[in-house]
Amino acid sequence: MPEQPVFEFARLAVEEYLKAQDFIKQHHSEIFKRLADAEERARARDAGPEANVVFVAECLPFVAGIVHVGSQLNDFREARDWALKKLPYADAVSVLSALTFLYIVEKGLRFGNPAELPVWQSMSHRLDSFLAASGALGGRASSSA
Amino acid sequence: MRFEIDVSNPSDYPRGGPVTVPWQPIEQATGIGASAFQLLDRNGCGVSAQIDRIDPTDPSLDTLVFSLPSKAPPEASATVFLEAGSGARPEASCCFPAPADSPARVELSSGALTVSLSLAPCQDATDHDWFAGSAQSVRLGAVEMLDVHCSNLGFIKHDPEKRCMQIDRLLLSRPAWEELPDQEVYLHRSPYQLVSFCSGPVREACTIMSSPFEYVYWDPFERQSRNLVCSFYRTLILHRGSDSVIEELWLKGAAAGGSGNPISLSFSARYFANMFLGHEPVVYRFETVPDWFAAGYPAGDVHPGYGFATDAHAGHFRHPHPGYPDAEKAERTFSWELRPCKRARCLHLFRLNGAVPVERRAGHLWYEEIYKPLRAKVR
Repeated sequence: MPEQPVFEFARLAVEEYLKAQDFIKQHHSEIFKRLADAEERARARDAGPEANVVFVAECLPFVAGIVHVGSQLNDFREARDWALKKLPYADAVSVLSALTFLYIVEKGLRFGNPAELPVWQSMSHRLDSFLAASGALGGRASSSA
Repeated sequence: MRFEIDVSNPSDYPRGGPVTVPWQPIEQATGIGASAFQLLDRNGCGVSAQIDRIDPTDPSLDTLVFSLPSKAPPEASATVFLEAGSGARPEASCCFPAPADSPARVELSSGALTVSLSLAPCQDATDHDWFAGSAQSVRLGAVEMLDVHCSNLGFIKHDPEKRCMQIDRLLLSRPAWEELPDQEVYLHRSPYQLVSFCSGPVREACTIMSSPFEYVYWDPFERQSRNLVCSFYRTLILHRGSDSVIEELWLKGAAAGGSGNPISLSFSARYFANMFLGHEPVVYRFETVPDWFAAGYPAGDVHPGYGFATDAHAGHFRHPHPGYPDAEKAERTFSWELRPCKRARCLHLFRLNGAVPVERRAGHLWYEEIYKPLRAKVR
């Protein structure tokens, strides 16, 4: 289990290992639009925990695309090995996707334009609830926006 | 008059699905023509069927295809009935002749899987002319299987180099007394021609033919070099609802000048694919099983996979393809070679997030489609 707050863990994964931060920055608006669409659909369902699960499940294949397309093979290998070392019993590729998802949402909260902020906050809330419910990564002890 | 067609199930479990049988012997035995026939089940209900004209110049390749209306019991037979039909039934066969001008590409669909096959070496305004005979797009539903992650992202252009099912090279062995090495024929830069396109209730199929090329060998009896003009044929088949493409390969040669009957020649074909399943896909291949293999991505949240099966045996599976010029994208390339044969039946499987892993499905399809297919004969 990582000692550091989860966002730091996610930042390490994306910036130090996958080196996907430029890809994410470059495609910020497309990424936001896609995640916001999923958020909109989740909101249309209901406000319960099921909607959070649907939101995360719908976004993960998209985020997996960011992991694979936004990283080079050698960086991906290093990131996977690092994730395996940190969480030896987890699926390292899924861990990298989850961390990338956290990173994107956190970046959106911190640096997204003000018009996007309510949507990022809503997504962040869904992720928090989802992680708290699943107990994944020991809950999300991240810094706030 | 009504004729019985027995379909035997070689397996120890009930089996259904499409059945293929050469049409010409049936036509000769029954006197029923391809343009007016019908297949019925025991209750007299129509059975979905079609007759595909694989090569209009060779009626011996005409094929009757039908969907077994109910599963054949284990290690036993099911029966359908053939009789002359008075008119076209809604579910009866249809077969379209090849267009007069061969198009640059042909698209086949099973409903679930859609394959866009490039006949021309180049499909755009670039000078990238190495795509002949390749599927440049394979879509499972709305997802592009050759570039799954870009497809899932939706905002990145697909890799223009993506392709699969391409036979880029043939090796033609020479006679034993020949001192020259095997003849290499590269097919990826020469256009294919559409020979036939068939679409019916059971399947879609097309046959394509390579540009002609010469095969030269030494005739020890006449003590002179001889030339054959050859064409490589590929029939690609998608059964309705299927997630795989069945392919039949053969090589036809005829004496230069067109004298004499065409003959069937031995060849070994090399397949090439450039598809991105994700970084570091897993290859499933048993060293002692040359009949099928698969490459998939069991980790993470997206699980694309490709499987291949053949009755000709496949050699070493190379990943990445040696010498691929773009080192960064070499991880997307795969190649393998079939053992020498005169005819090969192959299967290409495409999976995305299925409940059954790609390697299990590939092995199962090898068994059902290649090794022990349902067999039919007129009684």
